[in-house]
Amino acid sequence: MLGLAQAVLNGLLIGGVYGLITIGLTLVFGVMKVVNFAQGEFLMLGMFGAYFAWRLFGLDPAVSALGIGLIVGLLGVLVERVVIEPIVHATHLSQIFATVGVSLILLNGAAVVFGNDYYSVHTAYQTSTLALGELRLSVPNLISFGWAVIMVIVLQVFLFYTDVGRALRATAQNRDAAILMGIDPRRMFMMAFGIGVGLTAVAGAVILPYTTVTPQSGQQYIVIMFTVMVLGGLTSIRGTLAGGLVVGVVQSVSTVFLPTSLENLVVFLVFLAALALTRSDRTRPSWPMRALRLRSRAFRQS
Amino acid sequence: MKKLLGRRFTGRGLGRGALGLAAGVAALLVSMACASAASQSTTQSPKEVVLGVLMPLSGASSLDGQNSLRGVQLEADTINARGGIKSMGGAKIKVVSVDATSDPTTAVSAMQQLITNSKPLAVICCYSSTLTQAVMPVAERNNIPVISSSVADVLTNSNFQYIFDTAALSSQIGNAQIQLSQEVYTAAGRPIKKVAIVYEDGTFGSGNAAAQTKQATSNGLQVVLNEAYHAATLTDATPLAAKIKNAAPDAIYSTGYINDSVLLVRALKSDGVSAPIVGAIGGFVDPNFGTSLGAQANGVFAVNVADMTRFPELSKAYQSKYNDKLSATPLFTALMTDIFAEALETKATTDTTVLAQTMHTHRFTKGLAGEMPGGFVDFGTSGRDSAAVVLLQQWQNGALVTVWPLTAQTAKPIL
Repeated sequence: MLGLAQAVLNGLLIGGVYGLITIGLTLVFGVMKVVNFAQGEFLMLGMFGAYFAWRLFGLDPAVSALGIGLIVGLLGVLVERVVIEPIVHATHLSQIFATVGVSLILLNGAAVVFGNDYYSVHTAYQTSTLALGELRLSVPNLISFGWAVIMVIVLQVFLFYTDVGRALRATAQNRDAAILMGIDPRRMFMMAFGIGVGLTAVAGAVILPYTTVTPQSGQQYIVIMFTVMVLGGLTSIRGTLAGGLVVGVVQSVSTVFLPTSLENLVVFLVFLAALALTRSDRTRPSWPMRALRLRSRAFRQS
Repeated sequence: MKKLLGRRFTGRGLGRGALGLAAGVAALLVSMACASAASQSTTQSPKEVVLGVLMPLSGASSLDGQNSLRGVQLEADTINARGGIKSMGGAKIKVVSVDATSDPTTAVSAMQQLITNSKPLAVICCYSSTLTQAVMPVAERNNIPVISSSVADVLTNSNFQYIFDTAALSSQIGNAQIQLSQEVYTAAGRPIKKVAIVYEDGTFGSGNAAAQTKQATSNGLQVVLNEAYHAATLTDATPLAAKIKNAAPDAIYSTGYINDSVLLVRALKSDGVSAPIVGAIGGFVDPNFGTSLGAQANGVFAVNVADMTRFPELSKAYQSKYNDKLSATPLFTALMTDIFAEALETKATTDTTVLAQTMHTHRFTKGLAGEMPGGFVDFGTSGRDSAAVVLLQQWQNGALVTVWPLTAQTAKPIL
């Protein structure tokens, strides 16, 4: 029982991390309807940024995270201008090719600049834990979870209580209507992409203490990112955090009963079940509901 | 007859025509003989001999692929600077490298591409056992010797005629992990009774784990946990560490790559697990393991196939050229380059089948081969080096030192 409780707790903490690294991806897709296959590489850049901030200036990643996010966000704006903007209205295939191309350039560019070595920071709290009764909380994971909650709150306030945030949401809801309201979609796309990749870079900085970074690191997280985004409803920030928590808990709890090598299999089974059972279009009920309604209608008519 | 042959072939023209034809044929035969003699002399004394390198230069294994290539380049440059292959008129070694990527399917086409485009005399490949196993059929079909340091038993148990493996068998390594660490702790009066075996689920990890399980059972130890994980997607080792902690082993045996090994050690330390950790080559002996974990690496054991402290000259040359520490990966590819050169010095040839024959029958003692722990490298008929040894090492103060067996000990184990 204690083992299960510990697994749930561990899952919630790592789930917060999964949510944090995915929020940026959700924002980009929500506003621009572009699937950014390079999101993992911006995570990797955030991790490298935090590593060098630690190595050169002695800054803890939790402290340098926002600054790193800002720098990577500006890089994201440049990438959006050069690569993404020309293909915003193109076919999905073109968008996939473009963002995969960005991913390859960033990954291999990082390999050329940084080499293929694995880098890690050393912080005082890296292997520390806090006791919660008989349960243990990993301090680096707790810090990441805290950041996840803060980022969600800050983003919600930004999106719902500021003019710029409202303009972003309007562009996400209906691009044409937003244009009619005087919103410049090009500025919104720039902002969404920059903030989106910047947020992911913040996440990268924050998770560095418990892992290592190498140019390939982004590829490790990209599948989790897409799973969490889709589970969270594709465009909802709060849904993304919830999706992350679900993936984290499922992964962690499944290892109590099954071999560790099957942890992601269980996640994907849950993912498929969620896709089948949840509504993607609010005006159309899910197929179990439709089946139930048909059956009850037939029953009434008989 | 005249009508059939036409006016040209009448009796009158035949004499002069026949003479011309005979002269032409004779000239052709002579020139062919000269060309054959010339080509024979150039094949025995070519300007260069092509050594192919097929390593994962991209993907998850790119660090080891890069380090492998570095070992070959460094040693090839050294040999060329000394005068090249003297038995072949000073032919220089030309290193041709192709990216195998970290995907076995792509590695196969990369091998084919390397063989077709560059016609190497031998190929050094592929670091990972999974990749080496995938490309061997291509090498066999083309009679190209493959010199490797991949550990999986299956590589030299599958009747491949063209594999030459310098590393100990995976089963040997797995056995040594259990055996050597047990000896250390028994000698200290703290015998190991319960063991946890965790490993990456590829050919490397699974092969090692199978050998460890067999040796543990044969030594009367209780295997309290046998757990595989997928290295490429391991983003959090906390659940795995929790499983290990719940099993309460006396020692933990792990086989993995760099990132997953670092995650696992960190998670175990976080969870307050004090049981000794014994890794097996791979990530546990890479310099990045030491630099990533810092002080947390101290005390972690790992079995290794060579002691870097025995190669100060090569370490210095490697550090000077690449600004990086020499590790087992580039040491072994430098060794393989030396073996390639010694094989050609022993019997000069541009025929890959003849080269393979030399490598099966010759005992390599020159250069790095002579400095290996066994004193030589000998592939025999199996293709596996019979002199390959396994040492138990430990991370102490950020460096790997050999602690067991006593004959190879450079520092006492810290328990």
